[in-house]
Amino acid sequence: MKSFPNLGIGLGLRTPHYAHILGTTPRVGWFEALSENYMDSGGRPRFVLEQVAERYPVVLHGVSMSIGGTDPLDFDYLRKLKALGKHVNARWISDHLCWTGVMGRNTHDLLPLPYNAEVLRHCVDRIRVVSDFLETSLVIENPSSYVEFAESTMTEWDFLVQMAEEADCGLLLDVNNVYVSSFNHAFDPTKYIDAIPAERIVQIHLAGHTNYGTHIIDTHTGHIIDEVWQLYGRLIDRIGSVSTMVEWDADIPEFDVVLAEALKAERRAGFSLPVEPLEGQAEACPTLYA
Amino acid sequence: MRDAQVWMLEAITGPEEPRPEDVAQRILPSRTLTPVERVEIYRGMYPMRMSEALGTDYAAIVHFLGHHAFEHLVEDYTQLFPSRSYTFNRFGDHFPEFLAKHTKVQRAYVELARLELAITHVFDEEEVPLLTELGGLDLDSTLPTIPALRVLSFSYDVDALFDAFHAKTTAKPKRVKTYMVVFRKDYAVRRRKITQREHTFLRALSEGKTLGDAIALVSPTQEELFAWFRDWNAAGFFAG
Repeated sequence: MKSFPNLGIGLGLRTPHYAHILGTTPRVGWFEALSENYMDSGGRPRFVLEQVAERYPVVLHGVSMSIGGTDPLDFDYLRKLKALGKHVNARWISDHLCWTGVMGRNTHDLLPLPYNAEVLRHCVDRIRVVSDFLETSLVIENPSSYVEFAESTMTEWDFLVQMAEEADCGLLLDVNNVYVSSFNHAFDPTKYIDAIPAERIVQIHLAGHTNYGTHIIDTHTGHIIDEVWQLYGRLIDRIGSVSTMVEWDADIPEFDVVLAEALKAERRAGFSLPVEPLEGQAEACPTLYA
Repeated sequence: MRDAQVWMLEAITGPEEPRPEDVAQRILPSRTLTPVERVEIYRGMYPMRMSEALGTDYAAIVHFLGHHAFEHLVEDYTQLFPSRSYTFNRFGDHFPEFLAKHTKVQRAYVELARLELAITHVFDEEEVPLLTELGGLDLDSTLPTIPALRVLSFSYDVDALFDAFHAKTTAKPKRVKTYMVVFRKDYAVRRRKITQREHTFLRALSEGKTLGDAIALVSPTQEELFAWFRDWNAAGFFAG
């Protein structure tokens, strides 16, 4: 697998924060941009991303690749994704272990997969095709899910580990997703966290969620709960610091509130962020398409 | 694997709830939820996601019709025009057509939806260099407008409706022929009312007609022509 840089603590690039980020150049290690929000836009979002990419390292995170889907891979989408990656010097490109639709229809949801040998082979083959096309190792995120399939024959973490090894891809380990799924499916999240090989983890996601009592929905809203921080700490203690990013996508608060959440991760992981401007920061680490 | 995905797509997005016995064959129960309740989580989130996406593009329609009515429209729209793209950006492209052909929504609001669709298109269009020098043009010249520009005409004053939406007030639709240009400048989408003659002339240019052909359509005076080009070029209507 290609090696990826440790960028420290990052935040999601979100519309309500555009003016603040461009106006104040806050002390953040890097930004994660949602690929689909910028691939087809020639307007302000694209302009802002270009400005941010001049000042910070940027990674691209997608929701529409449908790596587990059974429709053919969308090479128009992949071409645009690759072009955007080159344009903003993306450090890596990630998407989810999921499918988003079938028969040409897109639910715009990250739908779960059964975990068995057939699905494993399917995902491995498609990840290899995409990685070859993008000329980099694709990074795949573990999903949060609300159903379990009768036809699953292995745990999600066993599936993820085998998939990463066979496809030679990186993993974006979303610790909140592990917690959400562990609640919904009644498994021990520490088993999941402990099972993922350190050398495969390129990035970590942290986020808040909404607990409805009977189940948890991964809403990316609110503060990260203590149990998720504990899982993050357990992971960092085992594998060392890894690029970590806080997601906050609903009821998005002021930038400084999200940043304060990220700084908790900074303290926990022992990162040291740049104190003053980020002159040259964007160029200081290797890119995908140098 | 494909069969399972086709089944789940229908279970989540179809108009009818999936049969419990079918769900139980494929989905396991949790400690707290039955298989049907677990699928219902996805089934419930689907219309909310579609409504949120469409409501962002058609915020003025939501304002005038109300959230409840809008959600019903989205449910019907999604069945007829489900998203077929990796991006939500173009999900609402058929919404004005849907309102006109498949609903009893007032014509004024159909036109307001057309205006909002134009705004979303203009928001996303490619940025191109602007024309800086108007000299050297002759009657055979074409003067391409920027991609982020739409020349529009309406039977109702949708501009006033959009202003009312922005002001969070109500307004009664007025049936009056309205001509507008929607364009992007400095990465902000702007609206401007124009006259019928300006509309005819500018639309001709935006369709690639020559300056001579556009002039022949409206026979502007020299002063009129000079004023139009001064204003439009300052507003960045023309591509370089």
